[in-house]
Amino acid sequence: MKFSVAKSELLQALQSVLSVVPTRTTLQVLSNILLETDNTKGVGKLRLAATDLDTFVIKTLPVNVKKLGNITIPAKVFADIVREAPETEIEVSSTDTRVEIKFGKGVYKISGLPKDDFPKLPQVNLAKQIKINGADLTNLIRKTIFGVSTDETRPALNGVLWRTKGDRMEMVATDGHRLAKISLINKKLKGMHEDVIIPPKVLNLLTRFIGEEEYDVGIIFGENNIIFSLEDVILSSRLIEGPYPNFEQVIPKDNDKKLVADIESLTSTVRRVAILSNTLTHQVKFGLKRGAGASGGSLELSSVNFDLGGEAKETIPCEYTGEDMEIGYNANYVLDVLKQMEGEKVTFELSTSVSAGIIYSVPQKEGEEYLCLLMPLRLVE
Amino acid sequence: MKDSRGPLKRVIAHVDMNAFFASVEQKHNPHLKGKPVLVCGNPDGRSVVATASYEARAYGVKTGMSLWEAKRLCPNAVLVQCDPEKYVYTSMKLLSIYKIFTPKVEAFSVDEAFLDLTGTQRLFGSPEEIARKIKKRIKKELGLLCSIGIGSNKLLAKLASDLKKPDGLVCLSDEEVPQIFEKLSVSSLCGIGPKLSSYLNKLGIHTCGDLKRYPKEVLEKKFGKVGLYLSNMGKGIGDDEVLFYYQSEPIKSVGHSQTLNEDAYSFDVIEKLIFQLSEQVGERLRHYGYKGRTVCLTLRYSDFSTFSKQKTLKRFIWDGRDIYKEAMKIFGVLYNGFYGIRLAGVSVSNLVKESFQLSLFEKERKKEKLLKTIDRINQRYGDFTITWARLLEKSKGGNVIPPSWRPTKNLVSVN
Repeated sequence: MKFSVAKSELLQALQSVLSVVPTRTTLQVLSNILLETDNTKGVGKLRLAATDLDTFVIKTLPVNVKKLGNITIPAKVFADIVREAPETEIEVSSTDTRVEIKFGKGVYKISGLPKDDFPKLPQVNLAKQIKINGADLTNLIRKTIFGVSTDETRPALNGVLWRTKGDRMEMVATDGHRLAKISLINKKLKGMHEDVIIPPKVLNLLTRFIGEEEYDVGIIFGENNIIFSLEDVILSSRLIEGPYPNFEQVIPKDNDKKLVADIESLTSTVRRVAILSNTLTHQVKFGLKRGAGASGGSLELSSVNFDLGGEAKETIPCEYTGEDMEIGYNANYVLDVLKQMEGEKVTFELSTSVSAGIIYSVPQKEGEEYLCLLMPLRLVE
Repeated sequence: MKDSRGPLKRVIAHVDMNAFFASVEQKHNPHLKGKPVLVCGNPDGRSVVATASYEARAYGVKTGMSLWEAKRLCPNAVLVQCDPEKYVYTSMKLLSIYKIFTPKVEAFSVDEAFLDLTGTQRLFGSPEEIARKIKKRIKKELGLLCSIGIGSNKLLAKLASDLKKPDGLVCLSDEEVPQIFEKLSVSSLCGIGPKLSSYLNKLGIHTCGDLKRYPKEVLEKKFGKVGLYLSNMGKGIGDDEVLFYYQSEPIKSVGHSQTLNEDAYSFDVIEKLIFQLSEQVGERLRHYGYKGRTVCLTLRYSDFSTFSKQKTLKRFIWDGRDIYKEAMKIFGVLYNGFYGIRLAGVSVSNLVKESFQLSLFEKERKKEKLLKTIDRINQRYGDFTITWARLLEKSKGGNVIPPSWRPTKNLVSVN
């Protein structure tokens, strides 16, 4: 194998696959990346592939191919060499188990392993792909992914649920304490038959690759994996086995107390008050006082930290007409939710201080229904 | 003359009951009077001596000795099974006597207490007089003997009470401290255990005099804040407050451990023991209203070598089954798979109190309700009255009060 390419292009491509390379692994070859040249139709291409066995990333970039071939080499060392190389053309060539990297007057050689040792790349049959708008996809992911559970005792919650329901496409994530659900109306994904649970790692990568670009993403559903195909990147991930818990059941239907507050001022106040909250529970108390009419209510946010001997209290105006109530939340959970809310105002639909609250912004974005559920902390005096 | 409005000199007393468990047993059963009595976890099993009466100590029997060894030294000893309820009850009685003299009574364990007598002299007389009064009342009301040490801080008071046993009363004045401390081994100070003392020995520190002269900066570098504390200890200085009887040190961890009657090689036995200990830890966490997220497993092998390993989770738990699952994961890594196991211990730390994240899912909430119901039944009818089928044949081991015992709020009111 032999190719040459500008340093900056190679480095950029390398960096995009590097995050999939596991930092610690018992399988030596996984800390390598696969380099493979291709010359189909006379267009020279280099394929870079990395995997942690759950997720595969394959990035293609145009290079000047001088000889076809392939090899796997230690990802981190290779990236370090390329990163430190001067801004010039880099030539990479390989024999069976050795790679030579040349630029200017420098020659660097490292040992690699043959392609056969590397896990088999997923089969990508582009004829089967379904197209989805990239911006829609990132919107779905960004608004739910923060809710995914990291606790491995309930594996189904370690991923985002993606499904088509009626004329809607939905994504849901929950860790048992909070839940985020977004529905895009009239955006049914044709060819999606079953609910899938996708690990957050691949979705994070996906949003990074899509970025702010406006283009379609191809999706191929496999037996127990999912493949995303972008312009020059293929991402593949195993799916998490279901069933996903019945989340519809936990969305309250008769929360009769409504709190409406300004998103910006609520966010900044929670962030301030949280400084003096308990470092383990991050508890911030919401003290709701009803107003005379539709407006004029008040929301007192307070926290206590015994270790610091600290206490904080701040009041912001809000609309609230229910009876006075105190409710405790994990400040981090509140901030995670508020961060995703678009628009000026946020609504909390509440019932009691020990039941789930529904949170959504007003007005909602057109063609979209987005809500979060948040379970309180039990307050103890 | 000192300015009468200046700070009063601190007067701390440490009351240490003599051969507490054994004396209580002798008091309750007159037949045991004058006889060598050994209180132990399980007379039929392989437990150790929890307390030996003074009659038994004359034969060389010591606390912590294996029963087998103790019986060899003192063949006519009477074995009595540990009865924690009796001791806790007596301990509460003792507390109520101390509280007559000062509200600052800190139960240090089931048979030890610190009393802050600062400023009580006008009411009850000199510290020695107060100590004599306390000893007299304890003897009259409970028929028990104790040793009382008096000093200007907890460290000195505790040390003084150790100087004369049984039935001692020692006042350690600040002037005597340098002379006594010069030759005193560091291991006799409360807070310096075998591990720390052997480490100090390696640094060339054997006596408190050595500790005092050792450069403070080096100690601080080696031990952090504790280093400064140690340096002060060498000088007999300590400013720890005696807590009020209704205060308690915040609980940092909850743990249970048990020595098996015979070394276990069977996975089944060990697993069951870990499950049982986890259940006990869970029950106590819930009793105090805590959840924790660091689980620690300790294993002691047949050759007495002891290993611990801990794991910190992302969630807070208090269900014995969750604790058990994590403890077994640690077991898989920790156990050498070869030696017999003599003792296992499970503990949970990194605790939060009562401000719990509620769950969205009904199933999880039901689980909590179930646990609370089980706890209520067991509180009423006794531990393990209702339990998982797996634990029906609970491993029998010691029923000994741990050194970490402190009166709980609802117990303090017993009078």
